Amino acid sequence: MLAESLSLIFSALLETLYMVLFSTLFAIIFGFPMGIVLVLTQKGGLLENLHLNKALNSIINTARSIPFIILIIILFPLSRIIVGTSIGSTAAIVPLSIAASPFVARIIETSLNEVDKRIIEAAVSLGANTPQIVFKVMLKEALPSLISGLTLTIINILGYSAMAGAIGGGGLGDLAIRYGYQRFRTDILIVTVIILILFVEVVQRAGNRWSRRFDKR
Amino acid sequence: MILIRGLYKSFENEGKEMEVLKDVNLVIEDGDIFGIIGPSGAGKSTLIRCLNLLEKPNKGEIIVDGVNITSLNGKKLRDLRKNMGMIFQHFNLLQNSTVYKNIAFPLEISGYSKDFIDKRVMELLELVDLKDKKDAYPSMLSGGQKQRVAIARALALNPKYILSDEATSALDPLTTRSILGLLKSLNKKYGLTIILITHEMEVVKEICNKVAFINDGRIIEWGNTYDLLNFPKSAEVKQFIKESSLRIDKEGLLKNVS
Repeated sequence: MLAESLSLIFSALLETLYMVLFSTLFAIIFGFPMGIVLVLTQKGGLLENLHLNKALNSIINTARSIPFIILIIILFPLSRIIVGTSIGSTAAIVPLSIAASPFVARIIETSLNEVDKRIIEAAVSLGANTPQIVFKVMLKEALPSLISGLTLTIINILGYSAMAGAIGGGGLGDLAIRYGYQRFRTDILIVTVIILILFVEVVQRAGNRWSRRFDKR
Repeated sequence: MILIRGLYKSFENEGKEMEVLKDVNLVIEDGDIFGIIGPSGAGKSTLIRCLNLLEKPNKGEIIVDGVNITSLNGKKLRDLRKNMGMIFQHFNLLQNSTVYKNIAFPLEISGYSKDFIDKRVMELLELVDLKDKKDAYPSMLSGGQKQRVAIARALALNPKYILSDEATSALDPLTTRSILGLLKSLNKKYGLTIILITHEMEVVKEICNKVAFINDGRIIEWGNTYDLLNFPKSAEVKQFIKESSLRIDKEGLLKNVS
């Protein structure tokens, strides 16, 4: 009984880690360039282009305003096209990545906009081109804030993954609902919640530590 | 040599055109330490920022060593900027980079080899007397030290010109003197042409061989520092000189009292 419960919890934990890891990765791959384009094309940006900026803003706002549980349902067909199925942890990565990408874009945008404009201008005056300013100045100066943002993203995706789990994605959220809630297995519910709390705690502490370490201001 | 001819610059502010520079004409010769002085809001900052096109003028010409720079862009503009090191009131150093990395920055973006960069940065650290601060971060430095790092960074690519945007305005009088001394020695040693803007008459008196007085977007008078300060023609410049010397007297008096 105990061994069975433990193995259930362990495999659910692995599924959750799998979903969170890959969704974070894809969200960064899609959200990162979007965030940089947002900053470069905004008013007063290095490549000011208000039309592009406005279009991108609308897309991001639209995506962010759809409740996640509905987004998953809308994206069932897409999951089926990309991974061949709409259930399971792998299928859940599709809506998770798509939901988290605009979030990451905003995080990147906010972090980069915190960089002192005068420092960017100094780099311009020294003859730096736009990619050099993005990678050697903006991202470097914003690193502590970017790490904090990444921490926030991972914790957010963890929360979302519980929801994705509830409609067939597996993982700890799914376990808590199916066993803990529907089958009155309070012990499993409690253990699941404790694991989630620990997970958030570890990610947050690691994030804070790294962020501080790179902050020389 | 820099020739500024018929330069106009205006900004749009809430739908209203604000003319900040109105028909500015100046000649800056090689080896000059050229001061541009005037009250705040006179347009000095805009003027110096036009010289490396941080601001694009609306009309007029800026001819640097025979080339009209106002229409430059892309690589040609970046090359112009690499020939004009700029220093700022608030230093504007990379906060998350060490002193070494800050000075290496212009060299890195220009694609120099690691060995060359290392040699050049060490030279510059020696020049600005900050060898022992190589691995320090800007937040650990005093204002004067930060400005020395900024000067080393501006010199890294061996520019012909240095643009100084109120570089001593955030520093105490003693530090100001040492930074001005450094700039003057660079001018002597390397024949560096320095264009500086300031609102402090003391700065002009200390190091400028030429000075232009700017007010309300116009150059009121310009010429040799000695002539302009001793024999100003216009009432405005007379008034400004009188006020700044009064201010100095007052500060001196206050110091005596306390």
